[in-house]
Amino acid sequence: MNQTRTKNRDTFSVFDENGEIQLISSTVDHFAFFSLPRKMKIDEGGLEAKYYDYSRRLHPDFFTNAPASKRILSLDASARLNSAYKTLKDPIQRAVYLVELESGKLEENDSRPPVDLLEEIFEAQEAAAEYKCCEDDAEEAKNLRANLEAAKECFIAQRAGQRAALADLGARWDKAIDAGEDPPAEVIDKLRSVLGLRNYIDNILRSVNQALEEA
Amino acid sequence: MSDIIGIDLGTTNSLVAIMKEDGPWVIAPEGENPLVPSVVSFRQDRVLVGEKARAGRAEHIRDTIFSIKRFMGRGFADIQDELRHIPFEVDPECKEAVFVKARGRAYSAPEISAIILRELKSRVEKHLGHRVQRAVITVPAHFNDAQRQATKDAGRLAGLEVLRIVNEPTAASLAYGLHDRNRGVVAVYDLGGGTFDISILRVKEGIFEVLATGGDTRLGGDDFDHALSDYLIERAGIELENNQEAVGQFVLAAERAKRELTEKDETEIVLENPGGTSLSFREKLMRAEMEKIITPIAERTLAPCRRALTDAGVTASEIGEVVLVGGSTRIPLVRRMVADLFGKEPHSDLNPDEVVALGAAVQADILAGGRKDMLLLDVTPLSLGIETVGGVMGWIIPRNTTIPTSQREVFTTFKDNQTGVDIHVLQGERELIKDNRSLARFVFGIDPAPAGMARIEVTFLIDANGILSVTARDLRSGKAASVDVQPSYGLTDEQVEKMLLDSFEHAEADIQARQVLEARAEAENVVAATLRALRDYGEVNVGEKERAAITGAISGVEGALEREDHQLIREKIDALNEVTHPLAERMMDNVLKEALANKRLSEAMSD
Repeated sequence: MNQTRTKNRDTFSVFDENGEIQLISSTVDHFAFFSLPRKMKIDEGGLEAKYYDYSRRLHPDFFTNAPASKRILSLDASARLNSAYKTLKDPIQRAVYLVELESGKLEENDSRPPVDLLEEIFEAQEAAAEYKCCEDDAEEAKNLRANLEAAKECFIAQRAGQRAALADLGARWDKAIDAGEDPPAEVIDKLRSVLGLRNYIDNILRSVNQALEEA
Repeated sequence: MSDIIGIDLGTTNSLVAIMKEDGPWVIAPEGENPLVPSVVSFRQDRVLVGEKARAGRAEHIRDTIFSIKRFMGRGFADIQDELRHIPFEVDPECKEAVFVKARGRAYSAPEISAIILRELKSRVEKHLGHRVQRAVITVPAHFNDAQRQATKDAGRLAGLEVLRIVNEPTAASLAYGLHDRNRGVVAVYDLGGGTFDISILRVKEGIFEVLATGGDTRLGGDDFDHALSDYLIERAGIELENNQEAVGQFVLAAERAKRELTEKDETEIVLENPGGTSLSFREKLMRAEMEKIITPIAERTLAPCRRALTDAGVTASEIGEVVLVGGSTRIPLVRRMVADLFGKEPHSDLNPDEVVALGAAVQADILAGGRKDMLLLDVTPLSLGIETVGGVMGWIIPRNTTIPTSQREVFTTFKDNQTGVDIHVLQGERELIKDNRSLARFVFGIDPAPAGMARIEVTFLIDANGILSVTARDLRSGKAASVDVQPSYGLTDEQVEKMLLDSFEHAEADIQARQVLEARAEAENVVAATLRALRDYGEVNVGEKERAAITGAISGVEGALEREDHQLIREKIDALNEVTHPLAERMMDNVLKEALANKRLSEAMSD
């Protein structure tokens, strides 16, 4: 695995020696695309600068009068650039991508939420569903809204806790990479679990927000 | 190289602009208004467009088509609520696309739009003294795929090659950004005749990066007019259920009153015998009264604004500048609401009626290669997904993703010997597909195999126009899978073709031109498929010599594309197919070997 990591990073370039856009194989990962090391923490300002620079050189706007093949290369490369940037600029998406790159797709059974969290989620789901259809009863609506607001706060707090855990695990991951080693299995497992739980929290937060917005 | 023109195809008015030495200019014949009312009137012996059509609207209200933009890319069922206020006829027979009727003939929405586009095109041609063929056309940012496609169709029917569909608020930001390419975070609030958009952008070093967009494609000045006319009809105490003409007169009167109340505090509405009734109606209306009536509608713009802020990850206080676009932002109530929401005074330093067309001309200039220091990075306004088990949306590309963007997904079969994989694509934000907008069904042809063995890799690509294209390859055979597209709304390719034929006088030159266009489209597809095959298989499977032959053949096709000779283009396509044939064969072999190896592996595992 280390070998492919080095190989991609060192050899791939979006442009050939004449500055023309290259074919970008799907085996080139997002980190290789931007010539970045596979780390949790990256220079985000540098990433943005590179994104702007590549956008100026790849965007279809600048290939309107170019031959068909160059227009197609520009379209495909721009689509690729935008996906790569979107994934890498956000610390969470970046972490998910990196963990999946090293250890396979996150699956639902990577993380079983603790029972008390599950309970909170069910309660919030119920409140959200009831809140949507209790228009007639103002008193009831008020109570449910208060419940939902409280649940929202609680989930936001949970998310903050996860963020701290991610920061800590991320630092350990990066330390291993800097030392030229593979990230420790324990770190990978914990990351998979935290990131998996995050999905639960994100989904329930989305439902709660939606319920609050729609009313 | 010919000029590229910028067109704002609006609900109420349309404009055309071009880039000149000293900046973008809207184009109008000497002494005429650059705003062309988006009105088409079918008279006894001729078709009138623009001001002439609008001026006689009251007398020819049944045969005068206006606000056609609200029907672009929509089906008959979508416009039920609006029929009440429309004095012209809509064909109830056609479900997937709206056809309006005038003097016994049915016209699709893109055909009506094409008549307006042709008028704009001829204005520029008279001004420049030569023909133009290429255009940038703006659309509301919140337009879905079908609405964008319908706009492209309209361009095609008007004899224009639509190089780019640009979102109206972002076009406006380009016009504003010409003199300051570092404006910080900007909100563009665009309330036009029929549509509402909000876009949040970051403008930095000439890059106009849209962070989020939101809106409502059925919310605009027309809705104010409808609410006001309902109020006036109620005041008149008359039942107009079946008198479309009288309702039309009331809507016109309401629109006039709305305009006057933008400047004044009070106006008077006078209607004598509207639609052949015996009614004599005279009513004073105060601005405060009008505001009370339209407030609930104007307030509908606020939720999309809040959501766009959330999506953009910025707070109202981080917005450095709020720009107003669209005629309806002249209404004082709207300006007050925007100021309250963002906590700062909005401005409209550039004429809100013209700014979108000016921005379209700037984008046209960028495409023509005239400007390299500005670049618009726009987003897709709606999430894209597919139907999954239980009618639930399976998300593919979330809203506010920067375009162009693509996403690959691998699908398989559920039944033995299935010869097609059917994928239903939708746009929208709701969890259930029934609440979202169906775009199309794609059926991919595959070779029969046991259930679960097929592996179809589908690539969803949204281009810089916000228009989706879908390609697929059979991972087992390596072949590109055939794709049969059944659009849910709008016109099919065949319908557009037929309309094109009907609109031309079948001159030899037209047929020739169409053949060239078709050959070009095919050439582009073949070149794209070849490049993508090289990308996916070329690294290990193609030697230097073969690669050089393929690249040479591609250049051959491109050389032919420069000329207006469809036979030559076809010859070069054949030549390219010939040199890529061995690669295609080997791709199949390889994939077969791989599949066999996998099979052996899976057999071994199951032992």
